[in-house]
Amino acid sequence: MSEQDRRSEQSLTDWSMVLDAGSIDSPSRSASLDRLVRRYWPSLFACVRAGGCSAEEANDIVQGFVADVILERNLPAHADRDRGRFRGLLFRSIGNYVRDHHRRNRSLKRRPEQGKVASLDVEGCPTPSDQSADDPEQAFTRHWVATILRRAIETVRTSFIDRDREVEWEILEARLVLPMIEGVPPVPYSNLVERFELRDVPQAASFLVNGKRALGQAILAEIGETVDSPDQVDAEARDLLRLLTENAR
Amino acid sequence: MTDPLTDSLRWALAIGSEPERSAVDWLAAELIPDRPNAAAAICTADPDPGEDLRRLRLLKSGFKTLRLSAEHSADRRLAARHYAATIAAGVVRHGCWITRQRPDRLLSALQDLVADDGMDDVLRAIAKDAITIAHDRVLDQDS
Repeated sequence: MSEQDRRSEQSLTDWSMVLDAGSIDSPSRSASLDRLVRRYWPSLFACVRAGGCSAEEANDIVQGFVADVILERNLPAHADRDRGRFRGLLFRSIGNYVRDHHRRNRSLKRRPEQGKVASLDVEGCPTPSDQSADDPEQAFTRHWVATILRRAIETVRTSFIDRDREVEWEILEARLVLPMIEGVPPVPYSNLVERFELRDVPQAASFLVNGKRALGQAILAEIGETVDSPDQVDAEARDLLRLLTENAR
Repeated sequence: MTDPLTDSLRWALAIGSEPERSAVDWLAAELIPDRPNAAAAICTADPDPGEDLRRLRLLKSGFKTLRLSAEHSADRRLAARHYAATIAAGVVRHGCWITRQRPDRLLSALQDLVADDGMDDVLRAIAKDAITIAHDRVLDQDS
């Protein structure tokens, strides 16, 4: 992908991408659909898994959802920005699709085959350790927020490195980003002071704060891409936070 | 246990609601994790005088860096006010300037803080007390 294509892709907001993906006559529809599917796939997959499906079954269901609902029934064309966020429409649609899928499967199992009723086996059911503790909505939201966070991290990384602020980026990565995404402990400040030949711990901490501030702003900007106007960003962030916390187990 | 996803949304919301305050409060939380915000980190004394002085020096150094390196002018301005307040806390609780800056410049910074009604009352009050003490006697200074 050329740099121009990449910038043009990045400048397309979530809503304009959704509308473009739903527009049969758009020359860029195929690219928008591809982006849409790639962006929401992790959330859809996590949502189906949280409903109790194995990884293999969840993969099949999401593929079926993409083919039947997003492409065949052209779900993006039914998105209406006045009726809520696209993620809400997507979550409701995948929920309906999974219910239909299970209903079809149950009816196939009930149908006598060569005079016998299929056994109610548990093949394919995940073991408890194979599942997240999240319910489907929380799993969907959690992966959607993770997608936003990953994109925000990449924006900050690129911005800091482009402006010769590698040290600030590396401190942010060591103290905040890697602990967040890999669960590793933060590198002690004293190690960072030595590694980057800084004056003292407070200097390293103030660099971290600059990075944290930039990351927070990048998160807001990413959320801004998914709403209709800037004054909805705060409400959307609060809604995502509520969805993540209110059913937390 | 904290959750990185909810934490990240909370910072983002903090930036949206109190864009200026978040930077100094985050810095204080990095340096003095057991205090809820920058004002409390400055104004709440540690029972051990040596530890209290060490904490004030940490905060002073952090705010000093932030007032120069922060990307936004609002962050730099607020960091400068907290820098002055931290020095004031050193005067009030330890009877010394925890800096090598000239006293006349320090007094000017403290007067600006007292006059700034956008700042926390506790910070303005500690600056006012420090000015009174500095006018009453000559204070030791960092060498």
